[in-house]
Amino acid sequence: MKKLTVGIVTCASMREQIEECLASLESSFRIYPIAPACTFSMKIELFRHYLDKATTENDVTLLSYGICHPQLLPLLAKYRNRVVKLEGNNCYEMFLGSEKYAEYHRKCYWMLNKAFLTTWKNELLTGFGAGTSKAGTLIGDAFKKLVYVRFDKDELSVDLVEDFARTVGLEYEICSVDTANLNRLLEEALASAYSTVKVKTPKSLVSYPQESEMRTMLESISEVIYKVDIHTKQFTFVSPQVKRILGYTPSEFLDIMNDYLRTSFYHQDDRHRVVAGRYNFLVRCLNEGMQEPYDAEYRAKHGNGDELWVKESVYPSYSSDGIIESFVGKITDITERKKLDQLKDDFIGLVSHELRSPLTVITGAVNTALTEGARLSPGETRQLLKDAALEAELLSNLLGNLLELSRVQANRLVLYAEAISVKKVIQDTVEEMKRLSSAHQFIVNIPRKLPPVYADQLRLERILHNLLENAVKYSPQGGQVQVSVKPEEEHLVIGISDQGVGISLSDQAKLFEPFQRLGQSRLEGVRGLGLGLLVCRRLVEAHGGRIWLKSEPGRGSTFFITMPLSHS
Amino acid sequence: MGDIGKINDKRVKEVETSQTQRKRSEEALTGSENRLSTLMKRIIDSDYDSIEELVAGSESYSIGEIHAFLNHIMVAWRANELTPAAMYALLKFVYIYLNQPGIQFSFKNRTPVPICYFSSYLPASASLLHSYLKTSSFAVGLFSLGETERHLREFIEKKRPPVVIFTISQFLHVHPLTKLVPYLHDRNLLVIIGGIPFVYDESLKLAFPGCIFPRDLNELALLLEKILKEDRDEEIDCRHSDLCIYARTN
Repeated sequence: MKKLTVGIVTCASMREQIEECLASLESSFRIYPIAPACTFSMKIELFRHYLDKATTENDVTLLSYGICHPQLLPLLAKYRNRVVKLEGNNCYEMFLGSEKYAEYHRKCYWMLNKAFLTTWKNELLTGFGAGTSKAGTLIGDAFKKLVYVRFDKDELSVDLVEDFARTVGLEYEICSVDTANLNRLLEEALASAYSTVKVKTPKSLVSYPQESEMRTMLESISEVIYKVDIHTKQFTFVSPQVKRILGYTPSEFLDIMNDYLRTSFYHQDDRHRVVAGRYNFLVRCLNEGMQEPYDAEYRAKHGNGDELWVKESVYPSYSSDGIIESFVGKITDITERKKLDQLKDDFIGLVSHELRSPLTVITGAVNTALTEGARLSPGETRQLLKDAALEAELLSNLLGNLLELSRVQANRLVLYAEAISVKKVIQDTVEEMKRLSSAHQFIVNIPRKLPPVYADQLRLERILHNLLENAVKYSPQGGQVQVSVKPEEEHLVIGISDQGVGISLSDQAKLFEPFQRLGQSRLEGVRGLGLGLLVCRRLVEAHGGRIWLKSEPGRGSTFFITMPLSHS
Repeated sequence: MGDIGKINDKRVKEVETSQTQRKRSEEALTGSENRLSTLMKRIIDSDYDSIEELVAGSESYSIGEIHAFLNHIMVAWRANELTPAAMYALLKFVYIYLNQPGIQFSFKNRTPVPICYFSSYLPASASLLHSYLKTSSFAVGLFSLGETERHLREFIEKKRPPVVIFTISQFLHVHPLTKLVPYLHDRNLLVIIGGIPFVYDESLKLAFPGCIFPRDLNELALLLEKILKEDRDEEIDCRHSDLCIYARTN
C-alpha cells in the first residue's frame, strides 16, 4: 500500500507534543496549528479553512483539538468520513487521561502547559485579571492551586512557573507527564482514519494544463498575490497580475510596499491604518500564534493615477511541521463593488425619504381632520382628506413600482395577458393623471379604429402611468403632455411626449438602468425613486415589446413603447 | 389656508408637548441606565479583591435595576466587551449585593428551586442564574454537588420542590448528572438543564430524555413561571440567607 500523507489540524498549545508523537510513526505528516479557542475569540471559518486545506492536501486528516468552540462539532459533522477527531474534550484530558484530569478538576486545580505559561501568558493574565491586583476574584474563587503540566522535553525554567503562580496568587505544583496518552489517542484516530480513507483518483488520470494554458489561467486570476518574509517583514514576491490589476510592474510594486515612507500607493487617510494593521498582524501571528486572516479595505492609487478601492487579506503560511514560514497576501480590486454599495446606500436613503414624505402629509392631514374636525369648515376638511388621498395614491404607486421590480428581479413576474383595448386603458390613465395634475394640458391622439393588443391590463396601466407621471414631473407648469398611438404590422406604437428639459445623449444610455437617477443631479422639487423607467422597461420587455426615446436637451422628450397586437 | 395654518401650528405645539413628555420619560430611563453604566465602570476599574467593600459603599439599587444590570452584563459579555475576570467581578458584586441583610424580596414560590452545579467552587453560570432568577422574584437555592449529593437528596425528600435546575460548566460533569436524573424523575420532578457542554455538543441532550433545555434565561424564567403557577397562591416574603443554607458545602 502506498504511504499515505496525514494532515493533523491541532490546537497550537499541543503542537510540540503532537510533533513528538509523530516522530515515532511511519506516515508522512503535515501539521496545521490553530490557536486555542479557550483563550481567544475565534471565528469558525478559521477551522473550516484549515480543515479544507488539510483534507485537500492529504490522504487523511486528524483533528487534535478539544470541544472548545460552540460550532466545532456541527462543522465536523460536515467532514464526516474525511476528518477523525482525537478522543477528548480538551487538551489536558488528552494529555493526562480522563481520570487524572477529573481528579485535578475536582480539586479545583488550574492546569496549564508550557504554551500558556509562555506564548499566551499575557492574554491569559489579562483574561483572568491577573498581573494587577485584580487577580483575586476569578482565580482566587475558582482555583485552589496551579498545576504546571510538564512534558519531558519542555525547557521551561521553574522560576518562570513560580513567577506566574505568584502573579496570580496561587501555590503551584508540577505534574510531569509523557506523551503516552496523547500517542495512544493519535494511534487510535489514525487507525480509524486509515479504515475510512477513500482511494483518490490516481495522479496519472488527472490531466494537468500545458504551460501555455497555465499562463492563460494565471493571467485571468483577478487577484494580486504577494509574499512577506517573516524575519524582515519585507515583501519578497508579487504575482505578475499586479501590472494588469494595479498598474505597477512587480519590481515597482515591491519597492513601493517595502518603503514605508513612500505614500504613493495608499490614500493618505488609509495609509497608517493599513500599514500599521498589517504589521501588527504579522507580529501577533509570530509572537502569539494568531491566525485569523487580516482583512482591510482601503483606497489605493493605480499606476495610472486613478483611485481604486482594494481589499487586502493576509494569512500565515505554514511548513509541514506547523511553523510559520512566510505570510501570503492577496489584493483584489473592489472599486465596482464599492460603487454599487454606494448606489445601494443612496437608494435605501432615498426610499426611506420618499416613503416618509407622503406618510408625514397623510398623518398630519388625518390627525388635523380628527382633532380639529369640529372647528373646520366642510371645505377645509375635504381639502385635508383630498391631500391625504393624493399622497396615499402616490405612496401606493411608489410601493407598486418597488414590488413590481422585486418580482422581476426574483423571476416571479407573471403576466395575465388577454386581448384588451388600448384606447380605454389610455383614456383611463390620462383621466387619472388629470386628477393628479391639473396644471398640465393632456392631448390624446388615437385613431378611431385600433386593433386590440395582447397585454396584461394592470401592467399596461402601470407602464402608461409611469411614463405620464415622468412627463408631468419634468414638464413646466401649463406644459403639454401628448399621447399618440400608431398601429404597425405586428404591434402598436404608443408615444408619450412632454415639453420638459430633455435628456442628453450620454444620459439617455443610462436611463433604463437601475438606480441611474441617483447618478444624475436631481432636479429641484422632483420626487420619486427613479425606478419608473426601469419598471417600464422590464414590463414592456416581459410583453415582448420595446421601449426607447427621442430627446434633445431643452426640446422635450418622447418615450415610445410597443405592445404586441392580439392577432399576432 | 390661514385657518389651516393656525390649526397646523397648534398641532405642532401639541406634538412638541407630547415629545417633551416623551423626552422626559426617556431622560428618566436614561438616568437609570447611566447609573448602571457608571456602576459597571466602577466595578471593572476597581480592585477585584475588594468587591465586598465596593458593595458596602455602593448606592442603593432597586431589584429591577439589578435585574437590568444583569442583562447589561450579558449583552456586554456576548459583545466581547468583558474579560472573564471583569464578568466574574460584576457577577460577584450582584451576588453579594443581593445577599445583603437589608434587601427584601417578594417571591412567587414558597419552596426554593434548587440550582445545582458539580464544581466545588461557585461557577459564573450558577451565580448568574441565581441572581437572575432571584431578581425575577423566584425563590432559589444553590446546591454544590462537587463533593456529595446528600444535601440535595435531603432537601428534595423534605421540601418536595416541583423542579430542579442544573447548570453544567464542564464536560466531565455530564456523567454524574446522568446518574442523578433517574432519581429525580422517580420523584416526579421536572429537570431543567443548561450549560456550555450542551451548547458545544447538542447531541449530549440525547442522554437526558424527559429533561428540559431552555434556550436562554428569559425562556427559563417563563418556564418556571408556568411550572410554579400552583405554588403562587400566597406571596411570601423571605430573606435570601434563609434559602441559601444548602449552598456551598466547601
